[in-house]
Amino acid sequence: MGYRDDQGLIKTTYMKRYSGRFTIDDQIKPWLKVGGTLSYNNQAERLSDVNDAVSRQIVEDFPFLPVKYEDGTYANNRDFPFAEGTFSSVHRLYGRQFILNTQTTLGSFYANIKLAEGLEFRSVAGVNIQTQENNQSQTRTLAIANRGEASVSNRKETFWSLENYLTYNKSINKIHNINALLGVSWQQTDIFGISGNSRTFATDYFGFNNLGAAGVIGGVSSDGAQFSFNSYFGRVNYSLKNKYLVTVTGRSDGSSKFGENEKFAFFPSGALAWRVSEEDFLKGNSVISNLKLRTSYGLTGNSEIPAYSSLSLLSSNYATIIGDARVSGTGISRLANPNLQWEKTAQTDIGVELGLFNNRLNVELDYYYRLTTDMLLDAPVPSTSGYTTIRRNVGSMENQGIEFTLNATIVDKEKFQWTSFFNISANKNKVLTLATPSDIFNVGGPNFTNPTNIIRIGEPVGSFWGLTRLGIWSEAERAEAAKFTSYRNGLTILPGDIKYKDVNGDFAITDADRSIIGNGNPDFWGTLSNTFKIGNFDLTLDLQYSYGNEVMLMNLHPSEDRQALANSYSSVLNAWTPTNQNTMIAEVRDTRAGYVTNVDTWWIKDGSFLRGRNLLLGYSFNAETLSKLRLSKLRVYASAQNFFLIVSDKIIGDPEVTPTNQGGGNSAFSQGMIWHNYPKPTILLIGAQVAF
Amino acid sequence: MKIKNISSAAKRFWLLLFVVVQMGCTEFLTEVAPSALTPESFYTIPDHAEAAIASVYADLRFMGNGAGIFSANWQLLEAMTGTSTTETAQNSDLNNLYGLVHDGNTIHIRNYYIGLYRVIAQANQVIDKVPAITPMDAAQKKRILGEAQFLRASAYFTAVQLWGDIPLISKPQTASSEDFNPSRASVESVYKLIVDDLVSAEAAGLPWMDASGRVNTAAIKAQLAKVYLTMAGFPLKKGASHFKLAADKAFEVITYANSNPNVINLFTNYYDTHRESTENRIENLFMLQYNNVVAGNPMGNFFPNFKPVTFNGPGGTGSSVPTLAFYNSYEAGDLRAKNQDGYFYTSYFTNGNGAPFELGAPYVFKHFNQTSNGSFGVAGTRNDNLNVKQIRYAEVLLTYAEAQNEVGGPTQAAYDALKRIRDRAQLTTPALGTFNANSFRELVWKERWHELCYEQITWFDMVRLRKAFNENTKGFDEFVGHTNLSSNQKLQQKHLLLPLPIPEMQNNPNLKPQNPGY
Repeated sequence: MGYRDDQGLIKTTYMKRYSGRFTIDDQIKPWLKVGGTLSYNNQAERLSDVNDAVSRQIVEDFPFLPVKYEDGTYANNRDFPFAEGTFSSVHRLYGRQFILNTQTTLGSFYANIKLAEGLEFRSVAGVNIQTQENNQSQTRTLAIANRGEASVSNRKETFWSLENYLTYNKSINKIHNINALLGVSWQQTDIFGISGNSRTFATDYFGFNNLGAAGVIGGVSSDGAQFSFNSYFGRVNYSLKNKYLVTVTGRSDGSSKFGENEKFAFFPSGALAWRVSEEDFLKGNSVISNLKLRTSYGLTGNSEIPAYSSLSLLSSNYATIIGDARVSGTGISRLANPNLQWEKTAQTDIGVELGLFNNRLNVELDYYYRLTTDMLLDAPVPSTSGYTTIRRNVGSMENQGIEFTLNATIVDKEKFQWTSFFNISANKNKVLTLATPSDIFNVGGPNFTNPTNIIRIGEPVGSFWGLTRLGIWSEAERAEAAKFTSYRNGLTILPGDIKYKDVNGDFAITDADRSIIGNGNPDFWGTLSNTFKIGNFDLTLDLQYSYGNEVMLMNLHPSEDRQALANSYSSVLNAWTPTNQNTMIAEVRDTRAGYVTNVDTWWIKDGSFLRGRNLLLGYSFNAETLSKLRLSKLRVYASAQNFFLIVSDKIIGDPEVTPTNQGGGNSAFSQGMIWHNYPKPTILLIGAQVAF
Repeated sequence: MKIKNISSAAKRFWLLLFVVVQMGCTEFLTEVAPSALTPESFYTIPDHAEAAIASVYADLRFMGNGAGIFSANWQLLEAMTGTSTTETAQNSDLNNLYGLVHDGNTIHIRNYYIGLYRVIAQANQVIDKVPAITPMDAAQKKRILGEAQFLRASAYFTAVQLWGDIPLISKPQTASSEDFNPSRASVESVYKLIVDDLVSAEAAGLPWMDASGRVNTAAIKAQLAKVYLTMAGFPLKKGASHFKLAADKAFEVITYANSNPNVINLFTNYYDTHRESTENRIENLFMLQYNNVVAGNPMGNFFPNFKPVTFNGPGGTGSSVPTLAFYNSYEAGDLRAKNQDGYFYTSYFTNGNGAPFELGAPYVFKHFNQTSNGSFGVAGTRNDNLNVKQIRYAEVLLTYAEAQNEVGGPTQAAYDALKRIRDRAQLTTPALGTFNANSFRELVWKERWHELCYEQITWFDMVRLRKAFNENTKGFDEFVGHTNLSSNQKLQQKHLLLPLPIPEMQNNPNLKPQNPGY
């Protein structure tokens, strides 16, 4: 059983959760064991950062306006003449509700039947039922056009699975060990969603609790989907003298999402390992206590696409207006692809494990190469067909990298122990082929100014895309600047305007001048963790680092490039003036005099960081005290999580953010994109562990 | 004992295996989408035909969809004319259209190409599938096909004027269609389909006017007249034969209007041209339908930049505002340039209905919905249900006047048509006898600029005439070499056509060559 009640870092936000879990295991007969678990989880959340509204507005609220006027109404930037027509962050926090209520029921039941010595049959049936409500409302003063809005939606996902497999274990003379598995499984997911919204309320009182009280009953919708998997799988582990290890697996996976004749694909894998330290020449070696070499090759599949991707579908969600009334229409929506099949990834691994000095020093080093082919993408098609994309197996991509970990017990005395853990990972990603030579935009995001991310052959997926900012035009360059075709609403380019690199030298700043200007992938990253035990005290210092990852600071669009419409970052104090010409920030002007804002290199910052992830100090009471208190264990501790962060430039804030998908992009491709995220808290914790 | 256990366990196992294998072997992985139809399961009854034509109408709204920050697709057709400029430089694609440095990546150009072919594809679906629906009332079938033909012809008409030679697709497509990767078809062949479609639509038995907003016979004839007029000019240069066809077709509408002045006519005041209650009526022969039950009016980028002219306070972007030069080019006393009485406003009421304030510049009023935004002392309804004008009777009159003059100089009927436009603007028009063909032609052109501005028409006039209105001389410059006063950039030969979208060329190896100069 559990209960949790968190208040968010931003006012009005919260997360409440209670959960329960029940487990049963019963050996009914010597040959039959049954059991199951059932758990229930109920979570209620109120979010503020469903889009950028609040976290962005905190920056942009004019500091000279009060939160509320004397008459009790909220003060908003829009009250200030010719400012952008926004509402204040506090107004939005209290005027908008965004509630997510999620219930999850998880259950599984198994039966284990012993058929013979070493041969067992196991059948597992599972269900996972999740319902999620999303209830929203906005007050009459926020949703001005509609005089209040509310919507509710409910989505139910029902998943069941049935897995049956035989396992066989056999050891022959302690030389040959065989462990084999053969099985079959079925899974199915049903999704059903309904939603409704209405607008124009006489009061804010109802929030989303009385949609029927609205003047305009808005849209209603429902949708259903189902997808299924069916797999046949087997595995054999064989070890000879516990020195030579072989694993062979094979699985045939079928997914309903693929074309009629392409539902199934076969995915084999194999692995070899050699425990060198078990060989006679190393056995009992005083330095090398463990040495293992291993390598593997395997094929895996991916079917993470929406259901019905291979079918030719019409949409019946077109709506037009005839006689000022809504008339629904049915038209084309998806091109069929009967050849749609599994995306495949082939991975090769080579690794070594080394334990030294009785395993006080453990080192692991792995290299991997991963080649993904038949990628499931919305490939562009000639739009003369009426369609813009088809779901196809196109493109390939490679990832290769190394992972290194080091575990050391540096000091191991009775009164003082020091253990240290260090790891470092590096990965390089490259797109090898795509469906057509056309670059793919509208990924990543937010794409509201210009496209922010690009998928291009030979480059990491989701690379940043934009112009190069050379600086600001100086007085001395006035004549040169004036040669450019205006990129500030028809007005001549002047000293004080942003100076972009004109790649093709045509004195115009166009798409031809854009290029890849960075990417969010780090060169390497990892953690360093040290634990000290001194007497009854224990101290843990946990650091996290990342190097070479770039971030795109979209916040600079409204808070630095776009001036005099809202509050800006204080960095605009360094804006261009005739006496401050050597700067990267344009002259401060009224918006109608034409400022320019483009995704460019100035928004790309070095996102390398060092984070103090955890500092923990504990004290364990010794046996005497415990016996007095009749406890078997008592430890008190205090910790600070996320207690410091070092970045190259404080304007970045926290470079490690959840990518936003605002602007229609796909967040999977927007690593390193910073656009007004919900802040990450520093958590100070004190606690006690007690055992009776 | 042990043996017995094992055998009973084995029995259970085989039973279980039998059950699960039974489940697996049949249709476990077969897909049927519960929320979407397939083409095979549709187009069988007359209601399906109605639903199919509705999707064509629905996709016409692409012109109002967004084209990046502070911009909509329709601004493509305004930004290049030089008659408007922007008060914000946030959208670099739009800036490049104003600066005439657009290229095949410019988002508005890409969106228009995709949007037009989407309309064509939906119409192709109707034209291909509806004839086979039986039983179906013959008149209903003919009507729906006529609507689809008009909408397909109109989309091709826009596309051929923008890009010249373009792919000609007239059948529904699958990924294995022969023309899935089409090459460019000649302008001539595209116009053939346009004329064929419109001639066929003309005979579809549609009513002269349709207040519900559907395609109607007046719209079809007016569109056909404009197509002939365009074919008479650049690039086809069909000349006299097509001026005559244009004049005759336009005159059919005028003849009908003259005998049915309560059905088709000019509005008596300009307010009626942007008013909810007069939509799809009298002067509004065809409009794109907007209503908040589906979608609100998409012309918001004509609002001033963050000046509180509507109930919504300082919400506008000002990314399409008239140039002062164009505003000042109206003749003295022209009612169309008068604040709030004509097509412009220079002052309005705070938040739509409050204290009057000066805007400091002229803005476009002909898409301003006073019912929703508010007017003096009257709060707005806040629902901008104003339709977007496509074909007005005023344009039919001007099409007739221009075409008839080319056939044989200014006639009385041509003069009357022109004079009606000028009379409404409270301008005096010299007597017929004072005109020759040249002076009459230029006056008609000028009226086209001043009457039809900001309705996405002017650019097409510039391209077919290869002329541009000079706001200072009040005469007409050659297109090539004319300076757009919005950006002080000169129009070049290459600007007569848009570049093909570069991604389209990359996605279709047969789509080549690129238009010259890009």
